[in-house]
Amino acid sequence: MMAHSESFIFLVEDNPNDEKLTLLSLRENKILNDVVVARDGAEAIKMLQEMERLPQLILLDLKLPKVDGLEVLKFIRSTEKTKALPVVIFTSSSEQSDLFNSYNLGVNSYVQKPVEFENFLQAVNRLGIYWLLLNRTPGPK
Amino acid sequence: MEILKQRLEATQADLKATKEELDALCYAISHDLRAPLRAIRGFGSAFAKKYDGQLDEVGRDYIQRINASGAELNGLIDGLLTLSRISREPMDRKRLNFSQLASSVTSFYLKRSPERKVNLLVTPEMTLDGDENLLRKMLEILVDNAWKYTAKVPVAEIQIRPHSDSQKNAFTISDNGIGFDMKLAPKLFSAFQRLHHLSDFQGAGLGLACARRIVHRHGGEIWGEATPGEGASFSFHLPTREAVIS
Repeated sequence: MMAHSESFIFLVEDNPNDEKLTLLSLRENKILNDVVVARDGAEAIKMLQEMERLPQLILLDLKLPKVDGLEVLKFIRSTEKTKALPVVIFTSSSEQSDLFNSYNLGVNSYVQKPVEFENFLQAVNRLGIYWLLLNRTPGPK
Repeated sequence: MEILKQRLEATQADLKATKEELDALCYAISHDLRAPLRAIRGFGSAFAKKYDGQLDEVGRDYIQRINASGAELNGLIDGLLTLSRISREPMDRKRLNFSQLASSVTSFYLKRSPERKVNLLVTPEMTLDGDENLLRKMLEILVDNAWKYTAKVPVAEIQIRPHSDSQKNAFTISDNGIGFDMKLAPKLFSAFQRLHHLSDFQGAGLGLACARRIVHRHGGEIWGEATPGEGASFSFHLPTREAVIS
């Protein structure tokens, strides 16, 4: 099951294990879109600035080195080029403050990374199906 | 007078700093412990899946143990975070319809496990003063225990009623389940203590510690009584709002 073949996912994740688990979960669920990875907040912002084609979905971790996830979100929402992009925060944290701040800054969705692998697979599957197949976004201007 | 005021301000500042440290610690726990745990379970499962054909009975058993330990560790982390959150959350004391709260919590369990035969008795018109969110959480813990430890009884009897001693603002949740040995009562509410064999009943053993923390935050007391094989009852007493304000 594949979304439009040109649409890609932008994964912002500093933990190499979580990156690997996310990638293998996408593959396991037959979601074969390209995944572009940024490994800290500063890199994420730089890549977003330099991208010509924009991602169909941004999966954003919160705790990142250099610049944290909320700052990246702030950047995305305040930059003309990227402000309408779907952002799903994908994090270990279930703290109320993180939830509050994320929605305040305009995140589309907030998902806590499941610890149990079956649930992790399922979460990635559901996110993939929803954001890549079901959800519509405006085309390029 | 001035010295007292200064001391009070210093204590308050100290308390605030401690609270902030606690918040930071919890945040660290929830983030930093979960990530490696996720890796252990994730790669354990992915390994099992990928090499399933090549694993023998022993190999599959080892992977299962890794996963089970991971689940247990996750439960402990969640339990610790809950315990800490209970201590940190601001309280909003109100007069509450305790019967309504009890019915709401128990109906959730009834709906979730319709196959269980349970005789539920909630005394109507019980009221008490307290924080609704915290007391709901406490009820969930106590009802969960009653539910769990009556799992092997053909017809479970769970009651939520005023305490028989007619102490003001005291209530009892009782069940006819497996009970526990009263000699172990002092350990009942300690975090991580488990009075039954691990394999018989799931649970991290933190529930009662949380329940006690909630009751203590209200300035009350909680205690448990049981007869092995016949059932258990957990009772708590909360001061009235007037008693707290005075």
